[in-house]
Amino acid sequence: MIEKIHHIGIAVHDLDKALRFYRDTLGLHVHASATVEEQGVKAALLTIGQSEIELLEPLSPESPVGRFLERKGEGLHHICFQTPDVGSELEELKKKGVELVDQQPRRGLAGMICFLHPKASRGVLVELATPIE
Amino acid sequence: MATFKRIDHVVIATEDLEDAARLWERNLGLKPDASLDRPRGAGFMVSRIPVGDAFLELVQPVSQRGRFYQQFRERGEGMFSISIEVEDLDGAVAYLQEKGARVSQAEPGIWPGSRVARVSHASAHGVSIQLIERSMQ
Repeated sequence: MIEKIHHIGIAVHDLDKALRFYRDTLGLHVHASATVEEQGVKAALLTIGQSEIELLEPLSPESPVGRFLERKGEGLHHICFQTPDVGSELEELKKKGVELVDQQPRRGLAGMICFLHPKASRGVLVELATPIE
Repeated sequence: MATFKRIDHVVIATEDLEDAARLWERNLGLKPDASLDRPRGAGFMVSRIPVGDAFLELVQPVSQRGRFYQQFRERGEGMFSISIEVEDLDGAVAYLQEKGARVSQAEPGIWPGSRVARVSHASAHGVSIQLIERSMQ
């Protein structure tokens, strides 16, 4: 079951510059920021209503977000939906033969997460997340 | 300063609205609750899928004219823009322009009771942002 849009991921070259617009101009509150070495990103999460905007700066050009920037430039990167149980959601997707990036849930910035392959949604990179309390 | 309240919707561009809707339902059980064919003379069809307090809008160009088609041709299928709800659209436009952002003039939206303006992607790190004011829900 999908509860809501958890966040929208935006790929940027420079997190500090992007914060000048999303935090300082739009006035959105930064509720977390983190460097996640294994995903190759520096990230900031900004609250907007019941959802978040996740700004992602790559740690290297070879990281997934680095390659996205190289190919497409800055902009919308992925959409994440909140579900109460990412594990059972993933099992259902496997049964239906949906193309996936992750075969098992893993720890991410939004909690336990997994990514579907963009092919599964006609070019949209979809993440599912179950927040950890 | 203006208040940017919530994500109202996310626009997803597609070549095949019917197939895109089928995939969103198959993958996540999300279904459209409303559709418009060429609203306000625009060159696209749109289906709206409710999710939480927001919507996905699947948009397929059906004419080779117009702003949507031009951008679609450059960028292809996928996430296209996000729409952020504001209380006071004219105030939000004036505020952002004063901050140096490129923002279009307000105009009626495609859904009844909405007014919208567009913030240039050049002002928002590559993201096309629509501002939307809803006078009725």
